[in-house]
Amino acid sequence: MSVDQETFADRYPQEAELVRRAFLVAFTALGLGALFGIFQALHRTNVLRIIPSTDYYTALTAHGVLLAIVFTIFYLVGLYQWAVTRSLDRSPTNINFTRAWLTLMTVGSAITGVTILLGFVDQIGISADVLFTFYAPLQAHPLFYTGLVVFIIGTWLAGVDWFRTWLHWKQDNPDERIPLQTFMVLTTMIMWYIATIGVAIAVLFFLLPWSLGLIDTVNPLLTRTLFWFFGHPVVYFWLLPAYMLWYTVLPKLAGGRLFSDPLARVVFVLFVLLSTPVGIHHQYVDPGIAEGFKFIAMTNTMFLLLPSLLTAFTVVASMEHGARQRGGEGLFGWLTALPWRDPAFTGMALAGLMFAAGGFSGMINAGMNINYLIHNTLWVPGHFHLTVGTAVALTMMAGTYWLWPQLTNRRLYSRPIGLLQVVMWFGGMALMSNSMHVAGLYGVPRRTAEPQYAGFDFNTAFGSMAELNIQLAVGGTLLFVSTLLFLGNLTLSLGNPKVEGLGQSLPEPLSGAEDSPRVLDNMRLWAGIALVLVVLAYVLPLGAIIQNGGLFGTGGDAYPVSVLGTFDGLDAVLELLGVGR
Amino acid sequence: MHIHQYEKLWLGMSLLLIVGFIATITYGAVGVGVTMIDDSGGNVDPNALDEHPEFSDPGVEKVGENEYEAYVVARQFIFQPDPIVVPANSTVTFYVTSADVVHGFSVVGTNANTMVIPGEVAEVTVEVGEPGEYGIVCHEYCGAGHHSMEGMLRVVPEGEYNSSDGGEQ
Amino acid sequence: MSGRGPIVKTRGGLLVAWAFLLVFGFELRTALGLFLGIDVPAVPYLGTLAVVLTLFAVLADFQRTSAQGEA
Repeated sequence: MSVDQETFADRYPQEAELVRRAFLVAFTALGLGALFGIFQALHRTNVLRIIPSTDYYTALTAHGVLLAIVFTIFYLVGLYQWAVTRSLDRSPTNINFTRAWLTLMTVGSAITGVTILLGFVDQIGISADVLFTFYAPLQAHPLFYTGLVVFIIGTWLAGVDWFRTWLHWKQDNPDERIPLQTFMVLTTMIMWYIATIGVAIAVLFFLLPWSLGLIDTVNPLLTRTLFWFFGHPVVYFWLLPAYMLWYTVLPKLAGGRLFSDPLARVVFVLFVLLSTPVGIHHQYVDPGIAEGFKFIAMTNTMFLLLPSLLTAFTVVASMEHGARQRGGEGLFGWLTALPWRDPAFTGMALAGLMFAAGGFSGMINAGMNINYLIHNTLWVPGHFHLTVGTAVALTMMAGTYWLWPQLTNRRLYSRPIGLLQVVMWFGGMALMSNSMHVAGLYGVPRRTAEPQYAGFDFNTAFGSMAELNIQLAVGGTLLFVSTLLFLGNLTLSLGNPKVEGLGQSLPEPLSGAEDSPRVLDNMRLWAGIALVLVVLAYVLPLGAIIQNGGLFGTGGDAYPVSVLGTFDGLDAVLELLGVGR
Repeated sequence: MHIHQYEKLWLGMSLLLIVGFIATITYGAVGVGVTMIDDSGGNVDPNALDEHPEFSDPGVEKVGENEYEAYVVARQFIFQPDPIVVPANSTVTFYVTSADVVHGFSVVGTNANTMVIPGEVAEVTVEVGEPGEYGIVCHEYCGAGHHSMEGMLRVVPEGEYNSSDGGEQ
Repeated sequence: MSGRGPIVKTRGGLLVAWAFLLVFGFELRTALGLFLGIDVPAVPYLGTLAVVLTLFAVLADFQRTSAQGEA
């Protein structure tokens, strides 16, 4: 490999610093989230219960928000800042603006994060045990919603920053196609702007004023529907950075080049169009929404399989091309020619493999009537630990192994540890997610501290519940250890001396941008069509919900979660330490 | 735009798969008759359930030959009535609503499964088979005591079913 | 990691293959249990699988290093 190139950190020191800062927040959230994760895995399965079950939900809220929002999205903005700067070869128009949105996002996350964690300390009376979905009429402290608003405004400004950089670039390069990575960033952000309309309305017009006492009631079905308006596209906001790495970095790691630039663009455009008008598929068993609307969401969801199936083809084809470039031969023999020793490559390849499995369980979820069997069972977390928990998280970690040296000019502390880490994640997730899927089929619910009931037992088709519990606990432990290895490896890397020549270039695709129709680069067109599809999918159901239940619901009280807590986490910890009070 | 031949093939198979999925689901809805929970249950005021003609006294009532209606209220952290008693080999329509926050209603080991949202009434019709006992769990987080929220569906032989106390508390 | 070169079967590749086959064998048991109702006892089956796969990996590694020694 030619390792005599300047790195991103050499060429763009200020931007590299901001990317590192975003990654720092992301990895802090990853560490904390993993800590709560292992608590849950051991608590649910009754292997080890450190906190009382009432505080389980504080841990669960923290796990969800820290990992699904803070870790993923901070990684996204770091990666996208790198991608825009690198692929346009251009600094942000005003780096202070970049600093400002990153600060805003950090402040917002800190407010929400601290509000959630204060749920462990009852004396203060601030709490937000409302889980990642914050369904009304459960009510969090106003600071929870405020932090969320600040955070989302930060992401909006990030998009503004990237669009502005691109527009300035376009003035200087009027006839050039949008570089692929920038294209991916811009399309992702169009999707994000459309998606966040839902949660912004839910929080700003209903939940925040309601938590402040400005309005008395909300319509729980309405705010829930608005949440899922955002809640499904957000999964693509997690996924698309991973797709960017698969499309633009993985082929290089495999030793080849991306198969097709035009199809990569088509895939991202499909996500812009189809990500949002599908949210109602999370509400297949909700009362108050007519069957026809659910059917429309189902059809759109099924078509959303298309971009992911296309991605599967391109990723495997690019890997095979790389392997053959490296001398791989035979129908399957080329697999042995891939650089399995490289944690960045292996991590992404294993993540892609697990995404296939996650895709299959997702097809079950999307199947409107078969969904009855698994709705809100442990199957569902089993599914999304394969998608966001592996396809996204493992790809992000693997991408870090490749990107981190170029951001710091320091070599990775240990590649073997990195390899062990990604393989351990794969094995741990296979165990944990398998047990979750199977337990879900037996009817074990998700989101509960003690899935052990007084009046009945779950019937297993094979094996036993005890065995599934052990599987889940062992899997969760492996995942936790894997996270520690990842964070430790990165931390120790900071002790390596600075060296030169760690820069890596990305090769041009086999079939380049010149092969793709220019219309693909027409952002206004795709944003317009996407909005029309959203209007078609949502205006009628939202109208019906408001007409039937009223804009502010049919009445009913708020249920602030802080009042519900009867036990106290702090007391429990003190008791455990023998410092009884 | 140049697309590789294999990729065209893959694209075609993907579309076939998608259309196939939609077709099976449509068949499930139209042919087999799996209906989705929809807006037919109507709306209620969660704070005024005790004035509601049915939810004020939740329970099971006979509405036709072998047909029963079960009115169920979910609240932190119980189901009312508990147990719900229905006769074997009958058709039971559950009407479930919440007196406080969002709950879930799932008869374990079956596909009787619905969200319970305050203000909305979920209507689920199920075919009840042989006598037996089924656990009911709340599958949506509803507060600090969520994990203790469970109920029981007791299916009794037709002869032993007593309509006067059928599932009343 | 260089552009072109001979096939290098690495220890990394062996580790990945080992983990992959272990997971595959594990999922096979789930598939048998759920689809065919065949209850394969977990401990002896998975234990044997792990031992056999590890033996294979060690043998393959030995073969690989001795082949490299000759070359």
